[in-house]
Amino acid sequence: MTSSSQLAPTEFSAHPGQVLHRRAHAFLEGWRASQKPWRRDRAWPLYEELERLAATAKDQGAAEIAASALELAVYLCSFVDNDTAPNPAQHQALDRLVSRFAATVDKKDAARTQREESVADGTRQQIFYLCSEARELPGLAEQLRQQHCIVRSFDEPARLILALDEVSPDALFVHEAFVDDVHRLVAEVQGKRSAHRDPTLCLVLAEETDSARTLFAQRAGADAVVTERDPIALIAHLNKLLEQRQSLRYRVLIVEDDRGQALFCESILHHRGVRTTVCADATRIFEILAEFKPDLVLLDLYLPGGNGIEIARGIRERPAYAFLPIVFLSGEQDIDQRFEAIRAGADDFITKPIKPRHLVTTVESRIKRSRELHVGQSESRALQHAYAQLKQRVDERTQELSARNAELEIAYAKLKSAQEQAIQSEKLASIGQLAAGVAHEINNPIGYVSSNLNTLQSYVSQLLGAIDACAVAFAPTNDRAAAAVVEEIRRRFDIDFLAVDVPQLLAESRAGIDRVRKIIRDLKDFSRRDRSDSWVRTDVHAGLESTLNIVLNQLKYKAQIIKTFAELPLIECLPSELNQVFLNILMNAGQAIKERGVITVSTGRSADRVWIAIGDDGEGIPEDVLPNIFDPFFTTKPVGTGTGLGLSISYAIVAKLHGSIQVTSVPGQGTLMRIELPIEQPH
Amino acid sequence: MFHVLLVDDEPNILSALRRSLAAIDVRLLDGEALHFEMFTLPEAAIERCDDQDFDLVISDYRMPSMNGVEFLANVMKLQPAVPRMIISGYADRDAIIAAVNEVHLSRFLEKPWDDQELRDAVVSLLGSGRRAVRS
Repeated sequence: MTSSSQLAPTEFSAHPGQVLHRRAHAFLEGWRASQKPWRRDRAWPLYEELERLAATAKDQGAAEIAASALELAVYLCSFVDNDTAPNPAQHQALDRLVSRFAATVDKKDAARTQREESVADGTRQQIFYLCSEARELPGLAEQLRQQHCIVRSFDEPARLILALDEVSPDALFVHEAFVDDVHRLVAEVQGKRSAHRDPTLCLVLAEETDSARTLFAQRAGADAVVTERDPIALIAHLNKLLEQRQSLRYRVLIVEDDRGQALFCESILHHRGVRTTVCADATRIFEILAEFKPDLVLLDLYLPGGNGIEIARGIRERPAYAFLPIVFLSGEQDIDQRFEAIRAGADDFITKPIKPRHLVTTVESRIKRSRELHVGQSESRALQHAYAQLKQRVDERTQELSARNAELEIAYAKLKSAQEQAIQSEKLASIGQLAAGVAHEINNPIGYVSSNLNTLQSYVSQLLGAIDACAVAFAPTNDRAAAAVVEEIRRRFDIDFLAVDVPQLLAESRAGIDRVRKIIRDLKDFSRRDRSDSWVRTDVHAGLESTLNIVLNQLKYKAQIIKTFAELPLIECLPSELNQVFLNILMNAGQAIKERGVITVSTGRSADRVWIAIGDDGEGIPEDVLPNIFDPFFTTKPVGTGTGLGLSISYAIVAKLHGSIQVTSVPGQGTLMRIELPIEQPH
Repeated sequence: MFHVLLVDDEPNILSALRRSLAAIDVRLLDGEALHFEMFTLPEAAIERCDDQDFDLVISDYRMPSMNGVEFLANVMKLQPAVPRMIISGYADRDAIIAAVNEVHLSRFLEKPWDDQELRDAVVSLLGSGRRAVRS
């Protein structure tokens, strides 16, 4: 609008169509006033206004005005640019063009009111509906109007053809009864339709859309045969066809420093409905390419801003334009340059002076082929893209799922270990109860057996005393016979042996009972759960001893136990839990020894911590397994022999006691577990 | 003559206790002999307490019909001054605490007992009981 404001600054509020016409008339007046003699300074602004008029007319869809203005501008341009006054013959030609332009403007003036409707609203489609009144589809016109279409109904072809002088319809709806007239109608419509506009669509409305009807109608020139039953479907079909047509509009970028040449190309192409943009400055070409997105580039071989071949090469180098058709405009004599240009990526040549048919054919066929290629490519590219996207999504999803899975596995393991620990401690608690009960039952018989053994010992010594006393009693009598009898009895009953062996027997029995007692006491000590989990000052050695007593029966046949205890202070801990750690580690040590070996249990103190080291000379732990040994359920033992929880529980307990466990192991040589515990718990 | 009441559901324990205590030198008991009455049923023992005063009561803790603390509580109602002692293989800390608090237990020994420790305890309790009576 900036250009129009130069001549008609007050007309902003006016209808765009009216503005155009006023400007056209203003131009004509200016032209008539400025002619004879030719003056470049007067011709120049007129020429510029003419260019702007053409552009405005084009924008507003006033194709004939635009075409005629452009035609005039192209001719005028050579005189303005070169500042040569037209000779009389050229003047006559100019006048002819001007009056043709005036006629176009006037003619369009008459049809303007009607036309404006479609011009003003780009979405409004002009539709001619040819149908005998009796057969008219009820509601169709109404439906179409609701869709912002302008519908004119005709009941015979001749009237429709007459109306073409006023308005060129965007679509023809022809009832199948008039299918024989389609060919004629299409020819008439196209003949009167300005070349730059999209060809009119022709739809045949039929009762059935069988292939015979379709074929017949399409041969006659119809674009489609649609069933007349459903107006909505019909409109949808129409819109689809219009959209397709829209996408077919070709766009051509003309890179040409010669304005006359460029305008000439544009005017030819506009007649074929091709959209164009001129780039006179070769340095801006990529900017314009990106903006205009042409289907084809017309490139002058010789350009001031850079050799055309170099520009072609530059275009080809960019991946986005690798398949953009490039057609050179060149002189007849530039044969060598042509080969050079082909090497640079040119697709075709048009020799100057340009023949309109050559230009149109080349441009259209090149674009068509490139589009076909492009469609195929973009389809496969779209497929590839979709595939890549899908794959990416699948990958992402897979990753997400496996991450989620890993999380769940960890959570599951944690839960399971918690559950197992709960089961384990439950088990230990019930073992504790059981042990207490069993201990009572065992302690009763042990109680009387051990007491009776004491009593027996004193009874036996009384008996032996009595026998001795008898012997002594008989001795002073010097009754040899009696003494012999006593001697005989002593020998027969092996009294002397009994006197020595009975006390020994009793002592051994006592020792056995003492051991049973000790085992029972240790079992009770071990299994007693400190209900309040109370921290007590504990003697680590006592815990080790009592645990060793429990496992001794399992270990003593295969392992010699070497204890090296340092002097340790009492430590603040949970004794029964610590004993469980000792038990687990001692059991593992025992299991590591295949036949016979040594288990060392040593203790020591370093600063505010004590350490307990339990070592074995068993098979050791393989290096790859070592990092896992504290994991819950990790076990190298055969199924059924271990839960895989022992060390993880131990680890958890030691952690609770604010201590640490270290493992060093050499396969084939043995393992050393070193527990460190603080003497005082941190508070 | 000291009357000692022994209660345990296991007869072998009763015999063993009797044997062990019978070995106490009477000189340690001011020349008094020990007379034992033994029951495997606490109820029967309580009944006997109606008729006979005792100088010492020794009971097991865990018995089928009632536990040692319940038994001693019953005895205490009848003969409040008699020294009471529990010998048990059931070393439940809470049970011991309850026993000491509820029936003012004089002694608690664990099974299996140490004969000498048992005899010393009995001698001491009988002696203190005698002194208490005298005073």
